[in-house]
Amino acid sequence: MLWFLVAVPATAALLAFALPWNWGRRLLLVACAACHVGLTAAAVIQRPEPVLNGWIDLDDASLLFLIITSIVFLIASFYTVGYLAREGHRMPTKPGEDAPFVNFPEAVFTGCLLLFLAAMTLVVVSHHWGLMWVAVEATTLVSAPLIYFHRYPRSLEATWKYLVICSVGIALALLGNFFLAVAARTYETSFHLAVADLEHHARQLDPLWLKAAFLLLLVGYGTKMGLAPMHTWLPDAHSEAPTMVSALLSGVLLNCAFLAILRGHALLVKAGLGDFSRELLVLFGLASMTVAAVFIIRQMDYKRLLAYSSVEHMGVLALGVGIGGVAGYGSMLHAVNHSAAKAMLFLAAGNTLAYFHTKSANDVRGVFRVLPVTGILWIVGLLAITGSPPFGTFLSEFAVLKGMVDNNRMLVAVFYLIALATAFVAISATVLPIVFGNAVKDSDHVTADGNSQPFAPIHLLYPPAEPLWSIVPPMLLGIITLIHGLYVPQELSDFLHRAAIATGAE
Amino acid sequence: MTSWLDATLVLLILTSLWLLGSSRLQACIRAVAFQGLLVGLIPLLSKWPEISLRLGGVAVLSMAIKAIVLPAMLRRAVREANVLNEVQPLIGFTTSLLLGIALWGLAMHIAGRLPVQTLNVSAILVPVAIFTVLCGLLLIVSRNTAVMQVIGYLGLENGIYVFGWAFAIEEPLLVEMGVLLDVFVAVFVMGITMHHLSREFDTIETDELSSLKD
Amino acid sequence: MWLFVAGLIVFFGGGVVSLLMRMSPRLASMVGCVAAVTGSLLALGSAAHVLFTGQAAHVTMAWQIPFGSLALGIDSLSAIFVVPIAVIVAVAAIYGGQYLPSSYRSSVIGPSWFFFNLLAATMLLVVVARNGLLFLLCWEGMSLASFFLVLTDHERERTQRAAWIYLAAMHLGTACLLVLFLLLGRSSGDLDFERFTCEPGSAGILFLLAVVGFGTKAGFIPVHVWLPEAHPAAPSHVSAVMSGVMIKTGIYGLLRILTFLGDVPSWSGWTLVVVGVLSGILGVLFALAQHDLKKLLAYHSVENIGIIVIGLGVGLLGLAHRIPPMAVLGFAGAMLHVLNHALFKSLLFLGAGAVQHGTGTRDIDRLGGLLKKMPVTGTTFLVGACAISGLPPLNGFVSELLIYLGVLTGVADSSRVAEVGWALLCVLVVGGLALIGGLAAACFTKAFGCAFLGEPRSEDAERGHEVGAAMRASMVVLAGACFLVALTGPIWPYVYGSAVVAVAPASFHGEVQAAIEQSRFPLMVVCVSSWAFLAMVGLLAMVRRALLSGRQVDRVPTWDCGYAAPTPRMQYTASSFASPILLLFRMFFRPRIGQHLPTGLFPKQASFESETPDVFREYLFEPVFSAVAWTALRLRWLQHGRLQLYVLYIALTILVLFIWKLG
Repeated sequence: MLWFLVAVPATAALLAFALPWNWGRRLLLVACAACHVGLTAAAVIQRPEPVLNGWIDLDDASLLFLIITSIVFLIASFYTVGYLAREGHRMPTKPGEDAPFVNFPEAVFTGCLLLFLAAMTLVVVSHHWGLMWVAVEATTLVSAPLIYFHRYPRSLEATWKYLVICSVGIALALLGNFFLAVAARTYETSFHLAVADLEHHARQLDPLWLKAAFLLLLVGYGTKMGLAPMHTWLPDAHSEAPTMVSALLSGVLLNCAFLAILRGHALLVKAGLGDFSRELLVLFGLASMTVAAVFIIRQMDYKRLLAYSSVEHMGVLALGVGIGGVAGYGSMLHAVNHSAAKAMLFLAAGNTLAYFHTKSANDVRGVFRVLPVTGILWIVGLLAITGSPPFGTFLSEFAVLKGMVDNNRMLVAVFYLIALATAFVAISATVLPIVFGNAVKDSDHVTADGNSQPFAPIHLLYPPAEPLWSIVPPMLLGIITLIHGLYVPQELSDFLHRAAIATGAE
Repeated sequence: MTSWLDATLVLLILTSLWLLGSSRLQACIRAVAFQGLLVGLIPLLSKWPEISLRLGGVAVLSMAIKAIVLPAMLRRAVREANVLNEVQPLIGFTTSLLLGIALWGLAMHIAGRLPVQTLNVSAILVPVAIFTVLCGLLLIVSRNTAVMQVIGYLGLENGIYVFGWAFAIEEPLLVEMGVLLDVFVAVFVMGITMHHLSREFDTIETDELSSLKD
Repeated sequence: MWLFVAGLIVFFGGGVVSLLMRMSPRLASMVGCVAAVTGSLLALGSAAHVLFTGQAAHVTMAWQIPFGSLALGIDSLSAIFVVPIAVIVAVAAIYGGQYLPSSYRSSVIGPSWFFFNLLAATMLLVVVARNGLLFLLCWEGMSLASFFLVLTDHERERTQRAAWIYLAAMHLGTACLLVLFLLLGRSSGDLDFERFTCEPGSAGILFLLAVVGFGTKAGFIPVHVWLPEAHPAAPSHVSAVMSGVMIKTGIYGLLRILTFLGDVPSWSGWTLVVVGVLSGILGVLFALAQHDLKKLLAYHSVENIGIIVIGLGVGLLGLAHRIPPMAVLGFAGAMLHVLNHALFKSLLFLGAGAVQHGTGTRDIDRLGGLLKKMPVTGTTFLVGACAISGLPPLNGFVSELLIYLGVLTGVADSSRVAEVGWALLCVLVVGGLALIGGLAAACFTKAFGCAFLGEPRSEDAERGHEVGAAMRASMVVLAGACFLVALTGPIWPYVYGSAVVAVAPASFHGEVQAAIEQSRFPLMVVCVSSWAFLAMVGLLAMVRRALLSGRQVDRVPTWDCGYAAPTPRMQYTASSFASPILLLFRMFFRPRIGQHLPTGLFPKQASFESETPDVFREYLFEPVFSAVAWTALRLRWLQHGRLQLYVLYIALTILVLFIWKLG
């Protein structure tokens, strides 16, 4: 059962490389994503047995992140089909850059997308440090071609930075794994990195090596997760990748890296060093929120804006776990909500980009006028991502705040609120003019050469219907986060609590 | 075998300094290949004489990849990209070497904070590992071409393997193989990316690669 | 209580239906309007039941959400806020039913009614919520609904900016409330109001959080900056609801929090008095400087919130010093002023909307002579103007009188108070209130005089015409209500008594009850003299009619001393009218005055204009915001595109952590 979760997308990926028909490949993508959701649902109904000496297992935390991965991927795959149908086989030109660019072959793209799913699933279900490391590194490698789908210099640059920065980070995490192994030599001379095994012997581990290992794991996987100051690849990669890849990177991949850090935290908590890791998580959480807020202010590239917002939310997740108690629960809930809200915003941003052909927020006006549904999605996304009711992010950020107040961490709470408020003010200042206003500038606006310049080419004034594939997937994501803001069933709450406890967050 | 191990470790330090100080790409590639060879020797030396077949196999495979395959790929990339055979440092070679010596002090300091004595290995193993990692990082940070950054990354990985091979190479090998494979693929993907870089930008100097910023 | 819940369902249902009816805006408008009126009446019914029987109603419904519960309850404190909300929403809906379709594009009508009903429902929920999370959800829902209403005219850049300022201010205010509620619920672990406790020693900080958090909504100076931006941008019936009742939820919140705090330190009363006097005086001064009728009214909301806060402050001082009559009069005055301000401010906003609808402009300097063209609007506006200036026999007078009496009672009672500053209070409050009243009267002389009297100053004003029947009817109803409150004075202490008791600590209830009885007497005097005044006016009118009957009455232009060619431009303008007062108080704000004074023997051109931006926005918030942005932009080099630097960050991070954390 658990094998299938990884094997199905991996096999489908090989098929996708081989299939000669584009449409068959797109069908395969959706079918495989649907199949993955089906398997996940089956796993929810009946928890599968661990395999491979318990190296691959599905505890509550795994299940939580598996569900997020699976659902966001399915929704993004619908979008991908439409996207590929539109952009896959023509040679779009990039305004402002002279040379037309060619896309990566669709076979490679789809194949890598499916491998990406397989790798992320493996990260989530692996309960062995080495295996998890391999899987995390694999996500980096298979997602690099995804970022470079549109072959033009800027996306290549982003891919290169992504590869090098993440590889360096992951290399440190590998050193962390070895440190863990050394820490475990106190009770066993042979080399064991099974998560359950280590947690079982947690009290016997050498504390100093364990601490050092956690530092390396935190910095290493933190690079992948996008914690400041290791987040630097994130805005570049997210802004240059095709829309649904940005959505997957932000909505799913970052969570997977977060889970890896959580495993380390759980181990330290079991070893009685919980305060050590909590303090660090709080530190990195606050740093991420601060750095993100600084770069969100007057951020005029709306995809970069969303990327920095991801950094901020990763900060919230780390902070919630670091505070512990009910904040840990809030952190789990926030992972769900952030994935849905951010993926939705990236898809909406993709629709906007496809229409206006620019990522500069200065040149996009009146989305609501020309793309009404996308405009609404932007507003919903703005409210959802900034933690306004009635969206789930409000509840989860509230829970994190409650954890701080309950634990009497008032200074952290003040910091947290200031960072959130700054981000809110700055994001809304950028997004509101994008959505509202007039798609064409008033005639009294005159450019330097004396001509009045419309924001969009004239042919764009007659809006094409927004195709269903471009609006239904983000709508679904929006509905998910809306429901979580108004109704969190007791079963879900209990499940999240269990997941938080399993990862030492609560 | 301890003296042999120590000698290897000292050689590792010297190769790291060689990497930092040389101004020729080809020399750097040679240095990193030699480093890979030394790293592959470490498990054999530290476990001598009880060497299982699997351990030997992995060590040989590691040496083959790190000392032959990856350097060959790098050479090919250099040839295809038509890059100058120069390292193009951001900070001078002398400064690099001085910094390298400072890093050795730092590595000793960090290793001193870790409870190394409980490990029953050569006293300089942990500092050498850390030193090699730091030198790799220094190379990435202070050199201006994509090839040198890959070389730096390999140095970083070598440092980590010094540590890992010394303690961690017992069982299960499966994971180790996965790790090795990942590193191989990482460098492979980096190589392909470099190929694209050289085509797009006519150079792999990373000066060109700074258009994405705030 | 179920009546109330039914009302909420009607609001939501009507809102959603009108949102979905995209085909027929007219029908959507009808549905939205009818739903709003029905919902309000249902809510009003349940509030009236609570007020008359004195029995609080509670209901808790099933809802699965972390920390939350769907606990609703109407006690007297809630009920006295439900009443103005329901009344104003109903009247504004009737007005909007006619105003909205004739003033806005048809595509915005459905959404507008959706958000209007949502705003009404969330306001009602805010005042009946009995759970912290529910309260916050509704509180934010209320802000968002009104945010979207402000954005009705979203293609104008000014509107966008106003909406953004509003949204940002609301969010920042709510941040304080989050902490406030979490602190209150910390010891019990959940956020139900009935289990809220104030940890010893934390009353002061909780009080301050409440003042900032709720004050942002209510519009205390200096966190009022969103108010003069957002209210003019919204459609007029929405401004009426926002200014008339929505900002009062801030007052409700403050009162509700006081019920949890128990004994508050006496400085809290002083804080409120000072904030109130400042808001009152500065609010009215800023109002005086405005030419935009709706912006002027928005600043008057700041002023009136100031009066309410003065009342609350006096009440708190009365509680802190154990002077029951002072507490009762202060609180009752504040609560009554909540109702009164709701009535006359909504009336005035509806009037401003009618003026805009009839002429197409709200610039006072371009209006004039509208009383002849819009008699109903003009008359009701005059009633509102008199009421807001605190003139008898209208409602504004009654509530302000109660606050005056509260202070004077306190001062008369000074033997029980050992504070040196007690006389200061008298000067501060009585002087402040008097100044506010006087300036308000001056301001409305300007507003009414320049807009409705004299001759039209522009073609727009020339073209002015009276508005439709529904809009007129809603203004007449509100004007009537302004009289009604004053004429039924003595019943109000009964109505507000139990709410005052709720705010006072338990040990104090008996004395408060007694003080309520005493406070009836002055109101009886007011009531009787008001009736007498009206009777006299009626009598005089009848006498006039009797005297004039059978005679011919000519209508001729006003005598202008024989000047041959008067033009409308010779009239006193609003800017000139306000100029002396503005110059007197120029140290408080920085009016930008552009003037060409007449020079020489034969002056050719002369002009005078003044513009007064909000001092706090211009000299407090904008510098702070730009400083933050400046700092952020200075830090951009951190992400300057070089891969080497990025890897350096990672390397330094791990090194620093190793050196710092391992030792």
